[in-house]
Amino acid sequence: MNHLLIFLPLIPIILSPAAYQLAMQSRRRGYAVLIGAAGAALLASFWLLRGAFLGQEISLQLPVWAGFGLSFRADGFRALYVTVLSLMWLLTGLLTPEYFIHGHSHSRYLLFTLITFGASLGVFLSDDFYTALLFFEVMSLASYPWVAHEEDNKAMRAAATYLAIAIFGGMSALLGLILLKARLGTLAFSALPQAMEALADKGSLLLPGIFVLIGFGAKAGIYPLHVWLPKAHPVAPAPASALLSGGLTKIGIFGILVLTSRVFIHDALWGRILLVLGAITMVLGAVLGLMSVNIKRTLACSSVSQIGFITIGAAMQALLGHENALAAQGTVLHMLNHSFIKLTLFMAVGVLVMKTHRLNLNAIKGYGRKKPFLAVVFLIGAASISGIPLFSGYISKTLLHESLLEYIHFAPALGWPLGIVPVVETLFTITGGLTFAYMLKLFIAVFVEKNGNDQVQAKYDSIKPAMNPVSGMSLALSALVLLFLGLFPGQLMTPLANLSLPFLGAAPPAHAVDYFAWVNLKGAAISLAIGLGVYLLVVRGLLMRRSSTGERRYVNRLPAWVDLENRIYRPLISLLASWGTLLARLLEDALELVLFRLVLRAYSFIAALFGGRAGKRARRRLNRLANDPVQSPREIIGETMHATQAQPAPAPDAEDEAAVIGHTSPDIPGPTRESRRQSNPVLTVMVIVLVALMVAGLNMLLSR
Amino acid sequence: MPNLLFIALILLPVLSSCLIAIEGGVSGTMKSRRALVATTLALQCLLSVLVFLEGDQSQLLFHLSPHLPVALRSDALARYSVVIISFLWTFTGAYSFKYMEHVHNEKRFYTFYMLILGALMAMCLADTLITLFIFFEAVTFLSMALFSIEKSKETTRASLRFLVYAIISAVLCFVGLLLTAPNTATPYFVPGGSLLPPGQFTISVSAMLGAVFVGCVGFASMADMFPLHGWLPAAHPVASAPASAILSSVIAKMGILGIIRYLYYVVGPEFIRHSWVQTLLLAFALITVFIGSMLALRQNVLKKRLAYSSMSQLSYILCGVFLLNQTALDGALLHMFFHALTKSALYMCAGAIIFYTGRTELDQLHALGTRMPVTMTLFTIASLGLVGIPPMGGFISKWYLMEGAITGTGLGVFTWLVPAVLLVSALLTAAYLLPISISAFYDDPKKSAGMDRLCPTRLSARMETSMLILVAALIGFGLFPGALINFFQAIADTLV
Repeated sequence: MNHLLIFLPLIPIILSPAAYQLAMQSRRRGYAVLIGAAGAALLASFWLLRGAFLGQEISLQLPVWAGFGLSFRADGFRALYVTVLSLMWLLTGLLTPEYFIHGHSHSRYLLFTLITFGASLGVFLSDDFYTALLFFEVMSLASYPWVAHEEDNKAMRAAATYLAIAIFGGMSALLGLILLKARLGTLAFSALPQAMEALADKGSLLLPGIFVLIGFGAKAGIYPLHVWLPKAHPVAPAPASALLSGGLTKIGIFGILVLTSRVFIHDALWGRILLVLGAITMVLGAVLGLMSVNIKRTLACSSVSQIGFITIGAAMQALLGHENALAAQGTVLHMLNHSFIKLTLFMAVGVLVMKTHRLNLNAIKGYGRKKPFLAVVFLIGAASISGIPLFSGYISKTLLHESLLEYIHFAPALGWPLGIVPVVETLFTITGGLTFAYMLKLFIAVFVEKNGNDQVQAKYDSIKPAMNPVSGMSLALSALVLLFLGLFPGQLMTPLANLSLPFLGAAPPAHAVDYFAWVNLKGAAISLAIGLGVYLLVVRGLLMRRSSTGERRYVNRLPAWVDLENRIYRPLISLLASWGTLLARLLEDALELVLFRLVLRAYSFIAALFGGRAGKRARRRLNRLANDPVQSPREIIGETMHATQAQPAPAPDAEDEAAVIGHTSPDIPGPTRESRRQSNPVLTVMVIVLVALMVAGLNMLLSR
Repeated sequence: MPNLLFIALILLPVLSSCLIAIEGGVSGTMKSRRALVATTLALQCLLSVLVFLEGDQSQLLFHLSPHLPVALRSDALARYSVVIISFLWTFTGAYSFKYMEHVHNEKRFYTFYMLILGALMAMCLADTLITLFIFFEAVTFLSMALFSIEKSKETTRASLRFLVYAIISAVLCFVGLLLTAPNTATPYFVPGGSLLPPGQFTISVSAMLGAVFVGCVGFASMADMFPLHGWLPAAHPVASAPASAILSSVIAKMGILGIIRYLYYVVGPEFIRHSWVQTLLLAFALITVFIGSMLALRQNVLKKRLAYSSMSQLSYILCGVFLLNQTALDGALLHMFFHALTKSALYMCAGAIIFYTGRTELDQLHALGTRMPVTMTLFTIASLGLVGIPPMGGFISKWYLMEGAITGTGLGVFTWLVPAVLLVSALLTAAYLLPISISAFYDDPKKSAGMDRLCPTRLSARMETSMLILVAALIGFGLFPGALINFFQAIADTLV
């Protein structure tokens, strides 16, 4: 049975070409393969989960595979997550046929969805970093076609960002892991703790750790590499968004958790790094989500924010030392909740999008007014993510919050530095409020308010039923999972969390947490009160504007300079590329200019010495060749300058106003921004040389 | 009893080349010529496998002078090279039959195609430095004839440039050889080197270091290493696709084979370890990696982009060779193998594109994925292999190369510089190769309107099969590289 662990990831990958071929003939058969593969994987993972509950772990070593050998293990946490992923793929698989009913490229979508599925399972089942990296890379690249699916300019641009970050992350992780292997001698998860203990210089692990963190963090969406999420989700098909957000980001978290629990065990510095990154990610995502007027963008930013919460959980595991059970439970449960919350929400939005082809809040306003089923499903997701008591998100947020409070409580007695933990605790509460505020904004816009245009409202009201029974079933199932988790935390969530503790190297807590104790309810209440306040004051006050027709419209007040990608990453990359080209050209031409011509001149000289007329002709020809410039320096610089002119970025948030997706609707371009001032490399070189000379002169003067 | 297998291995392609060259007779028509080529290549594969199975044999041919024996030997490295080259030659040959239809001078091409194979076999089997040198030069100058088949101004220019480099390279190699040979214990190759103790040199130690440096730079010129680089990007655009494929995947690698023979079998890695020679050579290799991948980014001509890419990838391998440790050497040998597969496949795909569309510039190629799905899929997989994405083979070799740099001792700044440059180069590789695939599959098919006429939906089966086998091997060996790694490790064990 142990070979199940390799079949789980491989079977979807092997089936993917079959699905491709079948979908070419009949769409229905193609989707049947996807649903069948996910269903079978779900059954297998239930079996693994049962084994984990009974204390029977299974593991598998394949020594000759892929060079260093592959190894797999299914313990509690991994069995749990394999189950979650299988369920996610199954439910989205049920929704996709209706979502794509007028779509295109079904075969391609199925091919890559299955490959991504197998690779994602592979990461979660892997028992060493090498195996994890192999599947991670495959997953990273195979999910590219999801983002690029719509094939329009916006999708291609988002997909390019996604690909760039995926490859950069993959390479960074590769370097980090090679360094880690050089220091520790092993990459097997089970051997890492001992190897770490045996290592004298623990500080030398930090650099490899950071490289690996960049790699996995990029996939998780941790600041500052979160930029792909808000771009990719609005353009990806909704089922793919659900999987990207609920499934793939967790793979990034998986890597970080392994690092935290196996390499940086109870390492305070590591904890602090994660804490800072997590806090920034959490707040940033929530603020961006609040400002956004595009429903999928809000959900994407919300994902960033929730990943921040989870990262804080990982940080607290490192900071709390041996007392980290609450943090570990909170992390796992928040991962679990977030997976299902985003699954539910993105699928609900998908049901909306497949009828309206619009994402802008003003355009879809009022769509859900007479659709109680959709409203209830969305409400369950929204209430869970907002941390409202009796819904699942409340439990995990409470646990994470408890872990922060625990640290603040115990730190003075144990001599731990408080550092920024109290600040993070405050931010945690506030961000919880912001979460509530942006979910309230979405819910009210879609399900409560009326559309400004009565005709549109009438059309929206006439769309019934909103979905076919199969899609409805997948939505209902996803929402039910959330509902049950939230209603029976003691029976469902706590056991699942405890099942995962061994993987995280945490002991079960000494006493169970009373989730509904007054102090915890009070925390949630404060958060929700903040959220309500923010909604009433900020969203209704600042982020809405009365239009000429008297309708209150949502407006995007996010200034364009906030965009990290268009403002920093893309210009920086194009600048580096042009400088690199210039340098490379000069290095290349150094030879062309000196050696090649010198030799030719020498030849022609000799030819002239020895030959009569023939020699002269040869000489002339050779001289012409020697003078025939491969490329003169002026041309080189001109070309480089041309390269520096980055493609003008579309104004990213202006286009939200006209956010229209789907091949049926025209793509309305947003207003173009004035093109960036181009930099002049020659001038820059001169300035740099000048400054360098000045500094050198100053140095000489001072040293006398 | 002379070893007939060796002789047959070398003489068979030479003989076939002569037959092709002679007007009329068995190779009078195109059909009979192809039959001859195909038969020879099949026999060649068989012979190379026999040589591989026979194990380590040696054969003295003759003496140039009492101290300069010309001898052959099939040690592990030679056996491996012979087999790989024979098979690559066969796949490329199968591919070329269709491709050469629209190239003139087919006869000339096949004459040199087979002749070079003979020279390559001899060079791989060489057991003394002088044998290596002779056949290295033969390969170098013959390959010029191979890529300058078509008569045009560009061809002349590329050939002339190549000639300049080849002559400089020959002079440098000869100087290195001349100064090294008298100071070795034996003229034959000895794993780990056979240099005399420094006290017994006929020249000073520093002069000896200089000689080694010069020799290495000479050989490396063939692999397009800075500062004697620049012939690959000139030669590739004018070469036909099959010529390009073997130029990048085999002939340029002969420079690396030469360096491995020279450094590890004659001089010995210990002699130059931690010396300025190693430092400078590593620096040159890294500069080339950088130049190659940076310039590839800006090339609009598909084959030129691939040529610059080859330049940087070849220097990856040289990096591994110059790091002088076992892991890195493993990586270098692995990367040699995988790069040969990858680049052959990429050039064949590029050739198929050029053959069917007649366009060479990337900004004129749109939505090829709908017209030539198989070719572009294979191109994409090979590209990913070149970037170093698992499970394709390039990943594992890159891992070894980087691990070799990181775990190597006393490398100073190169401990982190090598991985950093390799990493940046991998990113650049992705940046210059993946957009081709993306535009092939995601461009609006309307853009390819003009191409409908040009390319049929099905390519020649022979072309596709050749590419398919190479890509399948890339994935297969990437998933199960165990045997390969063991084989290379055994070689590296004896050398370092």
